[in-house]
Amino acid sequence: MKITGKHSLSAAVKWLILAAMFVGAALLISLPWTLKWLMSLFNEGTAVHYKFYLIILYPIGLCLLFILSELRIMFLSLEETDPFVYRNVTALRRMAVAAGILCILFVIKMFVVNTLMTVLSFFVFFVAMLLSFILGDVFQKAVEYKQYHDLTI
Amino acid sequence: MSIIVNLDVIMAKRKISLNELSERIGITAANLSILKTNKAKAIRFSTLEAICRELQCQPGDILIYEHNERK
Repeated sequence: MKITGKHSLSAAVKWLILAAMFVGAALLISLPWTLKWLMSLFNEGTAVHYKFYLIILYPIGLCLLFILSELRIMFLSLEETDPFVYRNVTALRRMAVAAGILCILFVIKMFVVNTLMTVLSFFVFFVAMLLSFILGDVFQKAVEYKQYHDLTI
Repeated sequence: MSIIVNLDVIMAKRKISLNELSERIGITAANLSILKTNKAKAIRFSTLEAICRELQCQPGDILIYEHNERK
């Protein structure tokens, strides 16, 4: 099975990311109604909680959509079989910043409505932020090596 | 960069075109153009050897060092 290039695993993942983006965007648009329905379903929270969830979930959703769109750009370059471009370095750094913003939002949520999932999400995105920053640097070095190699005649 | 590739001057002296030289030394015209226009980061000994052989010159005729304050 091909990992990169056309009709490969990375191309399939690219479509999966696109599907996740559509679902995420739909959820974000319908958030006021979905949230109300979910809260009534689990008989949880008050009107104050509803407003807080609404305020915190919109930026969280937007950050997640942003991360997905940057990931999609990276997978597009994998399909073209040349991932070592400066655009991917920028994508990884942007994803790290978005993950950092998500960490801050989860910390705010911990102080208002704390759940086990909030703590877990915080740790997941904290690790994701660190990994993205480090991978961004590694990618930059790889791009420089590749350019040096390409310009060695 | 402080190293200047003087290939165009030697090529003009030998009256040889870029395409002809690229065919003779076995590298693409695009790569030879990169070398000729000083855009290359490095040059392989094998490439230098082939150029010197075909143009009947020394490496010093092709590569010139010019002191440059700016890095």
